[in-house]
Amino acid sequence: MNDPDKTLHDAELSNLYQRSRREEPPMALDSAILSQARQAVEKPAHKPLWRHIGWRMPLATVAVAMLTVSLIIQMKQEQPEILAPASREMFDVSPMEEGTFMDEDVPEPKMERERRASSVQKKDRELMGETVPEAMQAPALSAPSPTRSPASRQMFKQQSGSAVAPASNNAPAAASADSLKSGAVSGKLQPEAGAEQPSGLQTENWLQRIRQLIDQGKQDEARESLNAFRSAYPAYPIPEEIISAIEPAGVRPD
Amino acid sequence: MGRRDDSGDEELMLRYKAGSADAFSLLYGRHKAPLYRYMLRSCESKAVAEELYQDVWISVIQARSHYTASAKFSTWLYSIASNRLVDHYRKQGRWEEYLVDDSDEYCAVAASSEQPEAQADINQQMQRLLYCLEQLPPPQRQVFLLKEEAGLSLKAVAASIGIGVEAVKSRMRYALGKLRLCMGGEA
Repeated sequence: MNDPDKTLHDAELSNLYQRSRREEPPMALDSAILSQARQAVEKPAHKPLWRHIGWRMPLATVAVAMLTVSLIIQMKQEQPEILAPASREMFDVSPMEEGTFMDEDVPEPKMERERRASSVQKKDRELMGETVPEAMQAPALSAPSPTRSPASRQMFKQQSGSAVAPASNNAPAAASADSLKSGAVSGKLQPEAGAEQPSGLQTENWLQRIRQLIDQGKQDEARESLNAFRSAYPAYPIPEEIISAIEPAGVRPD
Repeated sequence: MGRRDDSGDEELMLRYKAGSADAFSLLYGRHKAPLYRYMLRSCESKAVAEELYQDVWISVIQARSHYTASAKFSTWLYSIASNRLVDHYRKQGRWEEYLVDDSDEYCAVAASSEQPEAQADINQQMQRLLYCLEQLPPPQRQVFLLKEEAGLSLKAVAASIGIGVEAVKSRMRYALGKLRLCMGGEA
């Protein structure tokens, strides 16, 4: 029976083989393998995507969030400033002036009111200051501007009433169709029912201009202006003082 | 012949796994020559041997993240090498050669054609041995080389190539018998 050790190990063969072991891998092969081994640990192959992102993504997210919040805060701060002036003016309802508004359902904005009033005044000044001497002719306006708001018509009603009042205590306070029909007011014609009412301010200014002419002794000019006024506003009541102050046409001093 | 001491190999591999390229360099220096010769004697040409040799080390590099010191490093290394050889043989269509455990035909032919002289030069003996080794069936040659070249125990050889210890012993007996016969001695 063979020795198990000998059958599994042969010293002579082993020694002989050990002496024959001379081959070695070439240096180029060594370099290539060592290089690959180094690169493998310098750049890991299996790196999760979130590790590649690292700290950059969270930092970017925080930066964007901060910028967004800053913009929102800034917009909120600016918005009240932008909205406030308009809102105050737009919704500001100053106490109604006596006699100004008769129609409570139309609260006119303050800015709008002032602008309209100034434009009317300007127009009246033009009429009275510049155009009256020239236009002893009928003014172009045969009727009030159609753009005038109902509030202005209402204003005429009241102011015409007030304008009439000083002239004659017996004159009715407000123009009304019934008064007109009844003819209760002598010598004074009330605005016809349905007729478009002129601006009280404009007519009053015109009449005031006529008074000035009378005071200045310019009878002829006052008469011509009155005639023009009557042509423009035939239904408008003319104060008695003006009529009596102006000598009837045709009767002129030499 | 004294067995190679691989006590520090596992630690070096773990250090390389942790990122130390120098640890791999030391490890490579220890095992590069035996592995190279193992591949050289197992393949039909030097070019093929070098290609497979590089493949083995690349596999070691890529598998570093999965390495655990549950087995000896040399056992693990030659396991990779043996599997690579099997793959090569399969591609070559020479897988059946690995299934032959014993074949007296090889050695018998060698023994009859070239009878070594009793007092042959040592170099000639070495050459003869390498020639006889080349004539062994691949499975028997593999066992002989893993033992003599890699310094593995029979148990480690069995673990490396995935067969039982008894199968390793059987192949070893046949290998040694044929080598002796081929060298001009008795089986």
